[in-house]
Amino acid sequence: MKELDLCTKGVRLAEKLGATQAEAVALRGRSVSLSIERSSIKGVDEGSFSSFGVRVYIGKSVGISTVTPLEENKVEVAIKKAIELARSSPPDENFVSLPESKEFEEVPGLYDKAVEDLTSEELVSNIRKGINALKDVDKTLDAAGSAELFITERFIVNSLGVERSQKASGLSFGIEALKKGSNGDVGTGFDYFFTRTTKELKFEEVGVNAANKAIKNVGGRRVKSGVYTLVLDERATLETIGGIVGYGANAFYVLQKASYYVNKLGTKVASEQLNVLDDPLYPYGWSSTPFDSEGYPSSKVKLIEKGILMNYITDSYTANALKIENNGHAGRGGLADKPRPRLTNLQIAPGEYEEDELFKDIKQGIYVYDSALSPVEGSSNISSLVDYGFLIEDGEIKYPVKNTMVGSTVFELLQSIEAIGKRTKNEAGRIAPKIRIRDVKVSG
Amino acid sequence: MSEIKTLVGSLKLEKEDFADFRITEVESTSLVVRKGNVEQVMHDISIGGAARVLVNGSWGFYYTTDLSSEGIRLALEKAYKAAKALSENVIEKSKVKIERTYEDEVKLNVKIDPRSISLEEKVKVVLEFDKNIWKGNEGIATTSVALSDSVKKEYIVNSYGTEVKYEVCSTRISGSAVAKEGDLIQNVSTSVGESRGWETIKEFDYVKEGQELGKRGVELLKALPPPSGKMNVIMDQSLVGVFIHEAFGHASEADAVKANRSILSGLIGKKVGDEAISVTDDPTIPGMRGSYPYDSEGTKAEKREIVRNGTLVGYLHSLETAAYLNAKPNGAARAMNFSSKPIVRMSNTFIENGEYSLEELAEMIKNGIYLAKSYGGYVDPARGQFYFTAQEGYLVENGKIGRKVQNVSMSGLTLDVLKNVMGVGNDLKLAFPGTCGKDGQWVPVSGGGPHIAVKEIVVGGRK
Repeated sequence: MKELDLCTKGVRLAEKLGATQAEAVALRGRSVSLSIERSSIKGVDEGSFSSFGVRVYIGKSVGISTVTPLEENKVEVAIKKAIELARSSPPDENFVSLPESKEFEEVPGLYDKAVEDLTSEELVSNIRKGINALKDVDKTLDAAGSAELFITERFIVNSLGVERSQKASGLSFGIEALKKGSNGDVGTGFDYFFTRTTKELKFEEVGVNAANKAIKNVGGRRVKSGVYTLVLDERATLETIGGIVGYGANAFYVLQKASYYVNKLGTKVASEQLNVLDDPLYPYGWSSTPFDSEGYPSSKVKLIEKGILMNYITDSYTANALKIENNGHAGRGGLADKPRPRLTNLQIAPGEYEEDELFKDIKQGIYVYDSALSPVEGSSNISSLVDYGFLIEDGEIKYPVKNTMVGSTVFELLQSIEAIGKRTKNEAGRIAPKIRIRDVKVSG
Repeated sequence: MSEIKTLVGSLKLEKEDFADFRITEVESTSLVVRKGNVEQVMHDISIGGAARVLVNGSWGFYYTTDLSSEGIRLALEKAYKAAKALSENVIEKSKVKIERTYEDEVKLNVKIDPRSISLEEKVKVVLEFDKNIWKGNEGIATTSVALSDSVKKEYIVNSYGTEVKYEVCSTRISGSAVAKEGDLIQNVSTSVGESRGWETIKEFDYVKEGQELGKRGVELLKALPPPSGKMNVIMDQSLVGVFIHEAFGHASEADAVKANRSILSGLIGKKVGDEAISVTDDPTIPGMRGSYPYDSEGTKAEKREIVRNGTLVGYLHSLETAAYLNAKPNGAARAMNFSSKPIVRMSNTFIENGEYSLEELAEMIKNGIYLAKSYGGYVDPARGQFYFTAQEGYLVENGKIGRKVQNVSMSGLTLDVLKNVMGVGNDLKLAFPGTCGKDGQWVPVSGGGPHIAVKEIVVGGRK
C-alpha cells in the first residue's frame, strides 16, 4: 500500500535524521454533500483530499509537521521541518514514549462499500423523500439541511512497530424545519441520523420528526425564574453528560490539573443511579475504531458506576505521565493536532422508570430536548441556555420556552439526577435514556 | 496562472451561469506551552483548490489537491457536470450578481513576517508569558499559552473576468489560567489576535498581561456565585463584541436571510433598536483580526453599515445573496480553506460610540451586574435567541460597581435586546479577537464597541 510505505519510509528517515521516536500518519478520502435551502435541493459539493503528518521526538522535545496534499517529495520536506522544530524546542517533561504495537480486535461494520457506491442520484432521491415527508406533515414548513457521505482511509506507522491502516465510511442527513406562527413567531425543529451503512437510512423519519418539532416549538414563552425539575431527552442527556464527563474525565485535563475530576477517582461524582461507559468497539458505531489515533488498541472504559468515578480516558501521553493504563482513546482534531484523549461512543445505562413516571408528579419543570447543559469553558460552573424546551406543569407538557437559562455546577447537576428512564435511544452506538434532575435553578 | 483563466473560460456557460476557481495556500506555525512545559510545536503547509460552477440555477463544487492543469480541468468539469445533472431537481434556482470585476494583486502588508522569526524566539515569548501568569498568584492550578501565526494566499479567477490574488497574515497569542480551590474551578483567558505580522507579538506586554490574568483567576475563587434572573446589565467592550456578533451579526448575514433563517428578514428600513445604536462590520480596518482585502469570491472588501441610529440598513452579502435580494455585493463571502465553499461571514463587527462613561452607565442601571471579558457565544438566527458568556462580573449596587462574581452566561432575543439598550458608552474598543464558527467553517473575526447598558437580560447564575 503506497501510503503505508510512505509512512514507513518517513519514520525511517526521521530516525536517520536524529529522531528518537517518530510517528507518521497519512489520510486520504473523498466526500459528497448535497445541500437543501428553501425546501429545495440547492447544490452538490464533492472532492477528494490527502494529507501527511509526522510527529517526531528528539529525547522529550516534540516537532509536528503536516503537508497537504500527500506527495512523495513533500514527505521529506515535512520530516526535515519536524526535526528542525524538535531541535529548537525545549523538552516536554510529561512525554515518555509513543505507544508500542499491540494486537487489536477488528470492529465490524465500519466500512460499507454500498455507501461508497451511492450515486448522487440516489442521494438526491433519498433527500427528496426526506423533504416530502416533512412537507406532508405541514406544507407551509420550510426545510433546510444537508446530506453527506464520506470515505476515509487512515494510515499510522511509528518507530515502535505500529503499522496500521483503516478504511471507514459514513453517511449523515440532517434537516431543520421552520414554522412561522401567526404573530410573527418562529418555531424550528431539527432531526438527523448518522450511520456507517446503507442498511439504516432514515430520511423520511427524520423529515417527519423535524416537522413535528418545529410545529410544537411555535409560541415560545419566557418562564419565571425559580427552582425547577428538569427532564432531559435522550440527546440532551447524552450531550450534557458527554460534556461534563468528556472534559472532567479526560486524562489530559487531569494531568494539567485543569479538570474538576482531579483526585476524584473512586469518589461519588453523581447520583448512584448513574452508570456511564465509553465503547469504541461497538459494531457499526459512528465513533467506533479498533485502534486509536496513535494506532493503540481501543478499549471499552467504565467511566461512572453507581455514581462513582471509575476511570479517566487516556492516550499514551497521559497514561505514561499519570502512570495509569492506556485505554486507547487518542483522537486528533486534524493531522496538525497532537493526539489527545476523547470520548467515542458514550453510553448511559437505562434506569427503572417508565416514560410517564419521569414526568408524573412534577409540579414545575422544564423538558429539555436537543440541548446541552455544559460547564462554562472547563470551569465547574454550569450556565447554559435551554435551546429547546417545554414547560412542565403538574406532570404535563404545556408550552415551548424561550430565553430560559439553567445555572448549576457539574457536581450539583449530576448528584441531583433522581430518575433514569427504562428506554434508551441508540444512535449508531451512542446510547442514552431520558433523565430527571431535581431542584435546578432556572432563570427566565 | 492565466492558464486557469483559460480553463475557467473554456466551460460552456449560458448567460446566467457562473464559474470560478480558487487556490488557497496556507503556511502556519503554532506552539502550546502548558504549565511551563512546551507541549506542542507544529508547522503546516496546505495547498489546494476548488471549482465552483452555477449551471441553470444549480451549484456544483469540487475541491482537489491536484493543481496540475489536468487536475484543475477535471475539477471544473466535475463541478460543471454535477451542477448540470442536479439542475432538474433544483426548484429554487440560484443566481449571482456581478456588478464589476477585479484584477488585482495584494502582497502581504506586515512589518515583520512571522515566518522570519525563529522558533527559539517564539518559544521565549510563550514561556515568559506563562511564567508571568504564575508570578505572585497562588491558587493557580494550571496555565496554557498558545502562539500561532499563519500566512494565507488566495487566488481567485471567475468566468466574468475577475482575477485576484492576495495575501493575508494572522497572528495570535492567547493565555488561560485555571484557578482552583476545593471543587471550585474558575477559568480565565486573554488573547490578542491581529492581521498584522510579528509586530503584534512584539508589542504584546506579556509581563503585565500574564500577571493580570493570573490575578483575575485567583480573585474569582473568592468571588460570589453568579446571580440569576432577568436584570440590568453593563457589558464591557469585549462582551459587547460577542454580544453584537451573536445578537445581530449572524442574523444580518444575507445567506441566512435567503434561506429563511434570519429573524431580520424583511426588516431593512425598520426600527430594530434604540436611536443610540449603530452597528458596523468593517473588514478594511488595517491590522484587525477580521480584516482582509478581498473575499473568497474575489470581491473587494468594504465597510458595511448594518444598523444606523436604531434602523436596520443593510446585510452582509455574497455574489449569490446580492442577486437574490437585489443588493450590491459587499465582499463578505469567506471560505475557511480550499475544501470549503465561500459563505457569508462577518469581519470586524462593532457598536459605534455613544456618550456615556462607565460610571454614568452604572448610575443609570442603579442595580444589576457589570459583566466583563467574553468567552464566546452562539445564536439561532432563525428564532433570534442568543447566548454568550462572561468570565467575570461585578455587582452594581446603588449605582456603584462593587463586589466580584464568578463566570456566568446570558441569553437574549435579537428583536428585543437592542430596543432595551439604556445607554451607550464612549470608549469604543475592538476588544474581542475571536474565531467564528458557521456551517463547520472557522474564520478569524473581531468584535467590540463601547461599554453599554441593557435592561432585562436573562443571567443564568445559580443564586
